[in-house]
Amino acid sequence: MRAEQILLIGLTLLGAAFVLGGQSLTFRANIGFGPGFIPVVAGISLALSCVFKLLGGRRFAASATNKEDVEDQPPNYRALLITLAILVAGTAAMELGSVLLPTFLIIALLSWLVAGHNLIRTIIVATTTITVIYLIFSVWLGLPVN
Amino acid sequence: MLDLTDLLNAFSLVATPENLLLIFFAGLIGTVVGALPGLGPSAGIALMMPLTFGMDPVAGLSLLTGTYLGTMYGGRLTAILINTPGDAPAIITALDGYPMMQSGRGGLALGLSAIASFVGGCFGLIMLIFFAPIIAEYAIFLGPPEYFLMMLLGLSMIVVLAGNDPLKALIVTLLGVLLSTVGSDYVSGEVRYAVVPELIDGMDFVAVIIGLFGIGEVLLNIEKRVVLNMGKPRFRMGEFIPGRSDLREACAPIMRGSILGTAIGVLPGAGATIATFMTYIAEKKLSKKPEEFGKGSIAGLAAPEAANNAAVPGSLIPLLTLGIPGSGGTAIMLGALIMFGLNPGPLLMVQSADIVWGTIASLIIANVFLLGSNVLLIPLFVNALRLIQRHLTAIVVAFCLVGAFAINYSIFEIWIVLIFGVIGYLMKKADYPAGPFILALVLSPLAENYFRQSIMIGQGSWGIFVSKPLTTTFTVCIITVIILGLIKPFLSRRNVLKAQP
Repeated sequence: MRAEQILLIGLTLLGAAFVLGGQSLTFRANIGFGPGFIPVVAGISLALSCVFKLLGGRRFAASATNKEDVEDQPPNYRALLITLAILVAGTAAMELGSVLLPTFLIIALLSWLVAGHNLIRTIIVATTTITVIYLIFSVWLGLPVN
Repeated sequence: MLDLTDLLNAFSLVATPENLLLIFFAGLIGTVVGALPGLGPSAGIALMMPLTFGMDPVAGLSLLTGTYLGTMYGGRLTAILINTPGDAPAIITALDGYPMMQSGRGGLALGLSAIASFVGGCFGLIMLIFFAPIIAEYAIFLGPPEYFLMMLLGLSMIVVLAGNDPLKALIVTLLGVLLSTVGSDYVSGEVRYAVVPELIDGMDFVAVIIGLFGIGEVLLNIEKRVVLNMGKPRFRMGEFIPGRSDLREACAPIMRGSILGTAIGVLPGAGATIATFMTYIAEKKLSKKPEEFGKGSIAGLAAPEAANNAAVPGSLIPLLTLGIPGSGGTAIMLGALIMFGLNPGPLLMVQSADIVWGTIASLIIANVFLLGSNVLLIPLFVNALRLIQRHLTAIVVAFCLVGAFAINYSIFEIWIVLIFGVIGYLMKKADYPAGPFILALVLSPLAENYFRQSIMIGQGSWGIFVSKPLTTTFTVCIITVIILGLIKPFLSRRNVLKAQP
């Protein structure tokens, strides 16, 4: 499935969800509009626009060129999925308390598995980056990044 | 009428070695903070606030305004170097700055943007000094209908002018409007769509832009196997100093950006982000080479960069003369004024004229310092990037994640970054413009408030939007833009058909 279709289907569902969720909000109040007016109107408009685009209705652009059509290299979906898995697992690990340790692991894994660097270089890059981050955010700015 | 002796006296008050050192370091700190994804002007000023405790008001405000101006210089660094804007106003900088970087003109982009920032800042300061009372007096007469229509005009223009396909721009704009409704409603106080408690205050805008621009770009580069190749580190100052032809090309856009930036910056709620968007749109419209915009156009880089820095003194005009903050950064500044025992409002310039003029004098000094330090720092930043170019993916991801955490010290913001990273990747892949989405996300809460207030003022009648000459002018402009947007695709289609043999 193309990226555009995934995006449009997701946005259609999001628009519909906002319209449904907006039913519990006040739409019109006395002489003005309630908190439900903008989300419901925007949700309907978004869902309809996406459906219109999905169904391949009249194209608004005459010369629009989709970037997907002009790629000259085969897409590296494997690396993309590995990156997403590392990011999700790393962020989930942050829920355990530490931010810097999972970030160190994310840098190391991305450098090793995605960028293809050797282990020594990977460790040097990860250690240096995390040290710089610690010095800036924790030591200098005094933020609770542990 | 302005008495320049006030300003001259202020210079003698500010120009002590301690204050000069303070302003210099405030500018440098602001530059670095502004360059860090996730930490913009508001964060920079907020982080500096504790340091001002115990300082005299002039020194304290010098530190804060120097940091504020510094963040505006800093935001462009990461926008140009790694396509990750440090703050919202730098989003537009990335549109042409990053393509210049990719085409081997990164040094030129950084040099040019520093000069544009300096000129914009100077222009804004001159306006602040000479026209503050006049502009502020006029701005006070603008009511909710004018503000709403102005914002609607901005949104309509960006939908029509962003990219080749207005429907794509409309879809992302509606997405921005929709997501901006999450959280507490400012008018009624009702909580909307807050499925988790963290969303009660709404979706954090900074987390959204980090995800959309930082992680989104990283994911796309990984999928497309893009690897930076900037060569080995070298120090040639000439690479970073724009040539005469580049300066000539940038001159008029810088001046236009400075004027527009100051004018928009002065409007409460508008600020540097809208100033850069509007300037970019106007510049693209005026350009003889609009097709170069988004691909490394000098005008597309210089004009918004000038507008960005011109908006800082502009946003200080309503703050210092009316006590109304024009942006997130100036809202924190308002807190600082109160903290120093001052009374923000029309009487501030009468009762505490020495402090107000001292702050303005320190801004002028900071702007000069920042030009020097930024030009000297450019080779350092570019060569640092050359050193780490093979590891940029992992480093950018790390800074994005930690920057997102630093917003509220919460992992929730990191999840937001990841979600919008995927959305950003899909949008880039399907060629959906991010600009309208961001503008809608920023503008919609304000626009919604002004819209609902306007309808209430008009006793439920939509006639409020054509009741005054100014509102009627704005309404006519919006209708014209919409009509142009509707006929634009048909005109383009006809031109394409004509061009085909």
